[in-house]
Amino acid sequence: MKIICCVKQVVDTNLQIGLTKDGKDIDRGNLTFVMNPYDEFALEESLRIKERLGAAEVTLVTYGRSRAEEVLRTGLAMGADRAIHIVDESVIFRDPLLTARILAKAIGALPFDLIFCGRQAVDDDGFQVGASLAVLLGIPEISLASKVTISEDRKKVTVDKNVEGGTKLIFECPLPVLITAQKGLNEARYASLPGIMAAKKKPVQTIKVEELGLDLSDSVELAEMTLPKLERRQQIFEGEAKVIVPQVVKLLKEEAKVL
Amino acid sequence: MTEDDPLAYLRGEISEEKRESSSQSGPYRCIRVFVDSMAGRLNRTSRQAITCGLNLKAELGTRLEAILINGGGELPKEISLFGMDEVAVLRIQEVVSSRTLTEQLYEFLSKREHGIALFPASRLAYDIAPRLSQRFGAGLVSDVESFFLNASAGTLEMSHRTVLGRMMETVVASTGRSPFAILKENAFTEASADKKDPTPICDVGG
Repeated sequence: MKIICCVKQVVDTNLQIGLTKDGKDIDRGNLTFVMNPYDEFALEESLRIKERLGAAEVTLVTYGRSRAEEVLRTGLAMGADRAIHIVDESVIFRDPLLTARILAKAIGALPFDLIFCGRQAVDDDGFQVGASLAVLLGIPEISLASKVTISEDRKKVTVDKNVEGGTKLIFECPLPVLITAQKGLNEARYASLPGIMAAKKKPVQTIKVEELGLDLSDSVELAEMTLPKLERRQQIFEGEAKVIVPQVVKLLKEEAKVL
Repeated sequence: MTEDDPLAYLRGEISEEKRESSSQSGPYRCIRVFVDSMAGRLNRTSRQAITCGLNLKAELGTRLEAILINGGGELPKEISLFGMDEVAVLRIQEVVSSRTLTEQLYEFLSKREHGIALFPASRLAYDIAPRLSQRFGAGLVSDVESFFLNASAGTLEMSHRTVLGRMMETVVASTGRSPFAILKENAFTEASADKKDPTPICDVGG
């Protein structure tokens, strides 16, 4: 079985993050970068399926700058077999639609039975690439998987998905299919020392984005980035609880918009 | 509105001659709100999406339509009381895959004029909106909290949070494209169905 897992290198969001002077990008000067956490769940699920089935190969695919190779090496150290790096040194803001087209062009040339993506990237929170990629590849997509089971004959997958209202949907789908992973699907492993050593010898194929021959026009463009405004207000309520509580709830819903 | 007014262009309010020769056909000519229901009732987030649509309609001065999928009972009538220009009820087989639903929506929307597409924060939106936007080649922005009409630039700016909410990103659709937006939950208040004159309801077979 051929499994492809799309991964992205993102800023480590545990750090203090600021803006460049032109307001067009995050100031990446003193930042560290990690694998997108949702892609870690995607990769972990890919590896678990590989281990359960025995005869399976996991290929990582990433689109980004040269330094994105770090996340590929991390993924290879976790247990993936090979990797493809679509390199674009110019990318700052990239329209998710275009990202999907770039990934589709590279992945479309490969044999695959299953594709895993994280539900979103924590830097741009686009929520789109997985679904867009499935459209472009002409395969079904099942989003926000909470459990994935491959059939004994390796021709179908059963995916559990929790939706609003506490409902669980169970999908059964023939392969190939694209599945997006979310928190709770599994607990991602750490790379072992033998894995890290082995990763150095695993193949990483590099493709320059221009070599894909695509129109690289974005369908959306970044106008600016700013820090969200922090507003501190206080309001004191006086009176009986049964009168005040509905007022507070209404304010929290309609003004603070936290409910 | 004059031909020099970028908003007039975006609304498609330009001469027939220019409209036919231009490859950019007024991407803001229409605002389309997709509404979702559960157990026969309009979702809270759909009401919020309607508010957003009404606000944009007031600013842009364009048509506003609601697209309701499989809404039965009193739901179309309720939606017709929000103050939109049209309510289209699309009848689609009840249990379909996202892929099939996308294709049916694509076929339905292809016959209509270009416009801004607003999706409520719901499972339907997150499943369908990326697929539809890819099919149309339209830019999609998720979790949009606010819109700003930049009249001098002739663009509609959409703002959403990124980097786990620590940055505010403002994005515009590229020239000539109609933007798709999934609205952030609770970013807009819930609209009330309190208009006296109901909007026409158009029942479209799937």
